[in-house]
Amino acid sequence: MGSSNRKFRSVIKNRNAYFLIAPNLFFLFLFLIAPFVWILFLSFQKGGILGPKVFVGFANYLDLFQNKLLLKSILNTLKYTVTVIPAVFIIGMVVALLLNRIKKFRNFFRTLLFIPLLSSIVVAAIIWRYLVYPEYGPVSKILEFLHIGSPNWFGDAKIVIFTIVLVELWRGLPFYIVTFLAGLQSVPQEMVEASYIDGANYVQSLFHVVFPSMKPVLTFCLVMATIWALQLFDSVYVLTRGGPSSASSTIVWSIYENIFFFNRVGRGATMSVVLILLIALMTFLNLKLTRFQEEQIT
Amino acid sequence: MKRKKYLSTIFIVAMIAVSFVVVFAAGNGGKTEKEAVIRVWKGPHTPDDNAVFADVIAAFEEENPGATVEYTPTPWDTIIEKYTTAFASGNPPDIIYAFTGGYVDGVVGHCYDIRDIFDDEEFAYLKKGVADSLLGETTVDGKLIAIPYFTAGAAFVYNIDLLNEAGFDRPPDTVEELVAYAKALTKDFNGDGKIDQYGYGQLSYDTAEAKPEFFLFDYGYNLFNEDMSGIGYSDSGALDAFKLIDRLWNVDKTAVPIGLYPGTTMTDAFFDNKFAMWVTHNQIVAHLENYPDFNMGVAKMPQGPGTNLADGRGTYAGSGFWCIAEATKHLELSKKLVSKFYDPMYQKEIAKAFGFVPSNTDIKMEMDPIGKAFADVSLNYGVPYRFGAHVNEVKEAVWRAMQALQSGAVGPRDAWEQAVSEGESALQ
Repeated sequence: MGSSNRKFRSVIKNRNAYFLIAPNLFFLFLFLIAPFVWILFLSFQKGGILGPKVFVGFANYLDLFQNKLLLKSILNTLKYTVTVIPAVFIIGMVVALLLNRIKKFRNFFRTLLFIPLLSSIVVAAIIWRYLVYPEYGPVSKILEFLHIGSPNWFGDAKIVIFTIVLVELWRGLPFYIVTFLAGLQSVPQEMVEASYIDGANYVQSLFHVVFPSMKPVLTFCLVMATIWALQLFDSVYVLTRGGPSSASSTIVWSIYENIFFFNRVGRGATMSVVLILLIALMTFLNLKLTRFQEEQIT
Repeated sequence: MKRKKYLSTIFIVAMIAVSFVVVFAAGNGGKTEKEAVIRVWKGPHTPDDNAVFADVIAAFEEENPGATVEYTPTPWDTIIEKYTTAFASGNPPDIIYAFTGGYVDGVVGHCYDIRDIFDDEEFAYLKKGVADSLLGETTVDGKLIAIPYFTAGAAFVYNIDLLNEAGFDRPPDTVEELVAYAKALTKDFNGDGKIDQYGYGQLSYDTAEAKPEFFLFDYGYNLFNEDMSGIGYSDSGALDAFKLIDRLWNVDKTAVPIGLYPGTTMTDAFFDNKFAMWVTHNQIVAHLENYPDFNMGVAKMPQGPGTNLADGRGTYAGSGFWCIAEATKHLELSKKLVSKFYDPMYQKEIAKAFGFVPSNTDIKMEMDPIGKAFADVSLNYGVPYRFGAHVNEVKEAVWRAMQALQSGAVGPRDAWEQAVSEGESALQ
């Protein structure tokens, strides 16, 4: 009784603050919570967006495990995720470390490397389409010059998802480079120097001093990279439309296709719920892993 | 101090209230109630559709003071979600240009049955010159949502110069000739093992609209059965269509590999002489002005053994038409505007600008040879689509199987079985 009185008095005391955040809370409810509840509700229905809907219970969820196309889109998404995340981390960190060592023209190179991030993913995807064009695309010409031979970037089911990885890497890498660079510059130099004095070499210093100091930055990037990877849609929409033969169909593409093309809102809603759960699970695992590693160190 | 706190609270609440009012009143657009804005959405058929409709809109606005027409060309690659979202929000455009083919199937059922809103005289005016047999294409669940306005479709298109160079003075007339022509027209000019020119083009659902189901038509099979209750290619004879695809793409390798020219680059590749023949929509005519030296030929499809369906030369031919949304707030004005569109004087000019054929056969069009060739193929060999809730899903099932076959991932029998299995699942 006493504590609820105290809470009520606290709310009254800070009522201005609550008034100020009320619009944000309202829009949060309107554009985030209400749609999620609606999607959950739709996942138990069958029908089109504009047509009548029928309650079918968990049938859509059971169908998910039997529908080869939906399972394929989940698999493609996971394939993309486990490829692109290590790639952005390794390449991004290498470039950030190199940039960190440069004293002259660092800002110039940083600006140059940042340019792809300024373009929208649609523009980036269209640019890539012409970069790999068989007859005059620069990438194809370079590969031809090196006698490597240009693959069928968008038509080969075995490599199309990796073509998408390349496009997204090209555009998304700058964010990680800049973030890692900021993280590197925030590492206390005296700790690094102390490690050298103690006999550590460059690599040992990186893994035992620098990266642990960058834990918050790395954790943030890992979580965001996971979320963005699981939400892949734009470049699939522009470049492949999920093809060839669903080889580049991702979860979000599948949601879009089912709702708008196939008139199956229930199935699309079910995939949306699955995606939300997958993102939550991956984020939880990422955070758990980094906390576990922290405990191991201490 | 207390007064200051009280005033600051009032001030903050007032700010919040004003911000809500601003946000939710913003949609008014500043229009007064007396001005009526008729919103018309249509997928573009020219680089400047607004210019094509300028005269008919000006005439309508002059006859109806206070009414303004807001014509919006809606890009084809987002047309489905744009129309669906608009109708689902309860605020669709007043008039849409709809068409058969699986794009707007989700929304046309929410347009008026024109027999309910037009009287006999008005209806007769709209229907003048249009055959009764065409009305089935614009009927959705028993509702006649429009009178067909245009007929447009795809035909067999080829590079005359490349065919002549290979010794052919006419396009292939049968699928056997198609296979032979494709072989002769596939060339590696510098002997490096890489094909520089293919005989046959790509299949795709991109803007070039080289629709994959033509191969089914050639063998006498359609996507659906007569009443749309089941798929139309489950008979084992349809396997031959997949065998033809296998022959062109995997055995002879005379067709452009899947995905080599994504999106609109396929049209560029055709005009760059990267392949000699394909099936495509008459919208390709609009590109010819960029290639004045290009000699393009248009013909009927090479005949397949399925003579029961369009004499084995079936091709896509759809009807385009104008529908009035049931949610329109300006029904009378929308009816007048639709009637204006169907005025033969304007219909002819619009058809001419798009390279289409008016469904009103009383309108006599003077067409150039290429436009006439497309029109002849559409009218004589067109296999019309019908509306259905899962048309897209079945189309996609067939397309997915054909893609798997083209890429060599599966053989023709597996591809056909996959198409049948997924097509049947789509209708459950």
